Amino acid sequence: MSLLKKDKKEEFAVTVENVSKRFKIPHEKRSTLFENITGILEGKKYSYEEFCVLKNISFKVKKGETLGIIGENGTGKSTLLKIIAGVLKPDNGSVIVNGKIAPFLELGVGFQPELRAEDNVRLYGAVMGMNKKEIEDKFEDIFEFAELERFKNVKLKNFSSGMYARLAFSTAISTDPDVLLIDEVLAVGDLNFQQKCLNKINEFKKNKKTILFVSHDTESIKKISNSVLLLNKEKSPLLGVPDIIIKKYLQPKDNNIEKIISSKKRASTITLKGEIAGIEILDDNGNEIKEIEFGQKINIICKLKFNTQVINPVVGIIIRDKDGKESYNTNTLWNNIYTGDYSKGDSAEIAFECSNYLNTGTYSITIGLTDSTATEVYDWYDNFASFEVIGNTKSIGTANLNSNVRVVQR
Amino acid sequence: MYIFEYKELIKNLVISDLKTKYSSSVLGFAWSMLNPLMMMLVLYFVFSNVFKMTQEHFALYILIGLTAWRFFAFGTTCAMYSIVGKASLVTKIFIPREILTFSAVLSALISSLLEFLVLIPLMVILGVTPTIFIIFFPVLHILFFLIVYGTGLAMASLYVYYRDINQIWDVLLQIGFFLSPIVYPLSLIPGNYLIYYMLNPITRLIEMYRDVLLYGKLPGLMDLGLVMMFGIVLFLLGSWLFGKLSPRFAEEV
Repeated sequence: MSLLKKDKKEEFAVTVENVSKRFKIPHEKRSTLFENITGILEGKKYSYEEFCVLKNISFKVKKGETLGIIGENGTGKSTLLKIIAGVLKPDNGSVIVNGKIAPFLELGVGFQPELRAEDNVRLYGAVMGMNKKEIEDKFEDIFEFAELERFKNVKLKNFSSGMYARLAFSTAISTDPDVLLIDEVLAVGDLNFQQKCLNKINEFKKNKKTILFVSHDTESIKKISNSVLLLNKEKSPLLGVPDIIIKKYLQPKDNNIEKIISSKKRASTITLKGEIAGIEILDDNGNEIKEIEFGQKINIICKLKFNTQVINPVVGIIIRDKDGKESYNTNTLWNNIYTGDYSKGDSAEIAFECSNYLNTGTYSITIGLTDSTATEVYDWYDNFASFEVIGNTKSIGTANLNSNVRVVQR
Repeated sequence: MYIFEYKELIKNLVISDLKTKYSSSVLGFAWSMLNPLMMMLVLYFVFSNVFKMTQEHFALYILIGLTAWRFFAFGTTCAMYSIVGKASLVTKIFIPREILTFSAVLSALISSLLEFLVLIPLMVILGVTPTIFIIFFPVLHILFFLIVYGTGLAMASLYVYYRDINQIWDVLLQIGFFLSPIVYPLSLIPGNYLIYYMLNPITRLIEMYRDVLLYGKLPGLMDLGLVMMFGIVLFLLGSWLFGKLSPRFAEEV
């Protein structure tokens, strides 16, 4: 019975309970005895601003899981990792870690530029908690992985920053930790090195290591995490499935844009000979949709109403991304479509049948209705409607070129 | 105890510290020996010719005092910088912070032992044969280590918060140098001040070093006891202060 209980308890690698952390930021920093004494003599009170970084954070990470931690600057991601690593003490709450921790808060902690590379590897290995035998066993591997075999005897100060990072990373990962804490350190180094790091992290994942990973790069978080913790400045943190949490994280930024998008704006200099009555975005089966997948066929239907007689009016749509940049712009004139003659009270529907090659993101549709030469504007709505493109995880950018990636030569 | 648990790290920290200090060369160490020897020559000249000191083996007398004092001065100073100077080991990873101070003092201890080691052939050259009482030397040095480590812990933790402590400590060390019987004999101190003068544990230590190395005498039991008491009290005080101040090191460094 007791054994069962114990097993259950150790199912979690990291348990964080009600952790809070406040920082005191003094109005006047006193860092010397002199300043302290004169401060007291002048009768100034020691005043400071209290700044609450983490407030009652609780979560658990199961063994072998990868937790991504995201949040805007100043939400306490690094502070949280430092508390888990034991570097900072929380004001309240507790942190329990089962197993050996390897914090990658910075690469090459304790590196001495005046010492040779091999001395630094021994030193850094010891800092990361390896014993003599472990270090000597992995010594050659470390230099091999870093591709620095020829530079063992070189003093560290003569290393380039890339060599430095490689040496530090390969030493750090040769520790055999149960729990890894990674704080954006992988942003250093060239592409090749970053790829190597990511491969190594995937290897750790396969070996059922627990990883806590702080990053601003939501794509790589999505790729490697089992769950994501989103830290917010005022609201309580959110924990959940990567897709949903990351969407939530990206939302506040989109909120402003959504405002722009949803603020449907009618142009002021319009003659209203015809009016835009509505728009519909339909899928293949004629159902109205808001979310579109890559490659999906959609119909953008513009509904028009006419107040006087017009001949061959031009209808156009502009699709803009969330930054307001034009992603697509077309109209009936450029497509040589004769839209017909109308008199007062007539209505019409013009369909733009499109295949979606846009990439993931939020888009708005602007509609214009003009005379046959596109000079007199009858009606014009900026941001009449919006839609989202979802589902593509293979690329970012404006367009989705849907690459077929393969190895041609190796 | 952190010392045993982290012995590999301590070893590596001390080795890297010594390597940087002596630049991994024999000459590096020779240079560091030159300093006390030159200092001894100057002091010897000044005090034997200008002040007409007639102490027996005055050169060695000075050198022993000087070497002992150097351990205190260097040990506490290195200890003071041990936390601030290795900030990344405090803010980016968790290790018991005492280890940084401990390694700094340990590295100063090894330097000091090397300096004492050079003293022995010098003694023979200057006509003093070491006696069996030299076996008390390690005992004295361990007690001295306790004093230096205790003081070092206090200085290290205070320096994190007050960055001008090093200036103050420099001055205090200079005063301490002349308040200890390094360049003059104890007999120079007027009798009525002697009680206060002897409150300085380093005075007793230096005298005992001379007894053991130079005069071939047994160290006084009371001196030994008092120094040990002093060492333990300093160590406990230093550890207490360090323990009080260390939780916020990562925020202040």
